[in-house]
Amino acid sequence: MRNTVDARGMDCPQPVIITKNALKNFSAGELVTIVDSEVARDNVIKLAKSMSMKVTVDQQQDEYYIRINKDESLPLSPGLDVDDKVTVILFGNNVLGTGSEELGETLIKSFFYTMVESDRKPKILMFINKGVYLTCEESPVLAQLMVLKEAGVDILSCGTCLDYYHIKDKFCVGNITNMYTIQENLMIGERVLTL
Amino acid sequence: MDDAGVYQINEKQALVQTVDFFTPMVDDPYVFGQVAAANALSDVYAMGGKPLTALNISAFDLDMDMAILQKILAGGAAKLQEAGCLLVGGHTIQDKEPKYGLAVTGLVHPKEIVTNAGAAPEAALVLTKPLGSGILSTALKGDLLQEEALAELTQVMTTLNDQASEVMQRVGVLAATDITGFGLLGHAWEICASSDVGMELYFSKIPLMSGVVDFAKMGVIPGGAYTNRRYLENKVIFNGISEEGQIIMSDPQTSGGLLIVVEEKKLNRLLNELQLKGAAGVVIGKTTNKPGIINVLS
Repeated sequence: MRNTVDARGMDCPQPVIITKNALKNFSAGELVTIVDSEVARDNVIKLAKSMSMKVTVDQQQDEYYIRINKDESLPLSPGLDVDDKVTVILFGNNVLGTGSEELGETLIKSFFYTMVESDRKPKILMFINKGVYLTCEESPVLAQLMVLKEAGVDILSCGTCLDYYHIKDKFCVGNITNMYTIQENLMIGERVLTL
Repeated sequence: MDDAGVYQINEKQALVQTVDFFTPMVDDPYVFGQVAAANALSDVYAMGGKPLTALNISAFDLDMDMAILQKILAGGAAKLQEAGCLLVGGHTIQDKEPKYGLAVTGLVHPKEIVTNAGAAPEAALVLTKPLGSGILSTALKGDLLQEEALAELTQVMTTLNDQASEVMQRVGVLAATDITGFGLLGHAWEICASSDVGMELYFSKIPLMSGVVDFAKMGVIPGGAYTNRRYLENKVIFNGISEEGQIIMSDPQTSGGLLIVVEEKKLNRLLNELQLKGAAGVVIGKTTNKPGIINVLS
């Protein structure tokens, strides 16, 4: 079943309200809400996510087609492992493993490509030292990190490290953090990995 | 930029002038009048002044029931009376969309003006009203607000900042501003920029009206919250703060509370006196010596 909600020209919170009502009225299938402002787009995406539904967006000129799948509702809140363990990964380098730099970059790319596809996503990714290059412009895995962030993974970069390498103005994805938070996350993680 | 304009008359007196008006955010015209007046008076209170006189500014569609306009004005007049401020006139124009607000003139001792520029590092930040009026007003527009939540919203927005202002004036504080359209972070940033300090805010300490987090999660969010957040993108560092937390801190407020910067040694006295006056003050962070950076921690 497929339904369309035309919320073009509507002010907030109307697009959210009529999308919510439309979702209430059908049991499964795809609902497409059309909006024409970024605010309405972001708000409708939030609504769908708060109801644990899968959502994708197509942009056509100044209009956004938000596709919400009711039958593909996620069993668990996004970002959590299937076994609910809080996984924290600390990246101390912008490549994976020691040895050839070239191989290391290939490996880190393939690592993140795989993580995006995986159902078992970590809760928090933290980047320190040269690892912060991965969250900045020209990072080979920027798009993957953005997808992970959208899926609810916390992405944290060490502020001191960004300053040290003078790349704070190139910082792109996630939040900047401090040693206090990094340390605390290492303590709260039930499964902590260093790469 | 400060909350109001100041004109010194002599060594002991300065005028504080401000004007603010907007479209209705609640259905009840009397309550709308009260909110608009509390909001307009707030700029004078934020400067540590006492309001003296006010002028009504209103827009109204003549095809609508005139009793509605009368109720709006009556609500405004009631708040002015509570504030001890004299209504001396006003002006109405015809407009399809109703609007109401006031131009307020107050008095302050030139040496006791509380500006945005007086803050110093390592001072406490005290907020006197809970956040969330922008998000809850948006929920109200969508008919999503329960009666209890509406009652809380109304109560917060119609509360004058007079007691908080009087207490901060008596205790003596470094700086203050009222939280309105730019949201908590926007107005906090104004203090940072004017005073050349940074801030550290703790999200978990910030008082919120009930229901705000849920509405923010489901996307019942006014456009202004996104605009505010975007404006502050390079100035605020969120450390593990959820999306809805970031939105709530950027949510434009109507008739919000005062954000007061007070030295640590005076903090207890300020909090105690605020409590005695029924103006709940909560410590939400501190100023730092990192100019221009607001660090938000959970």
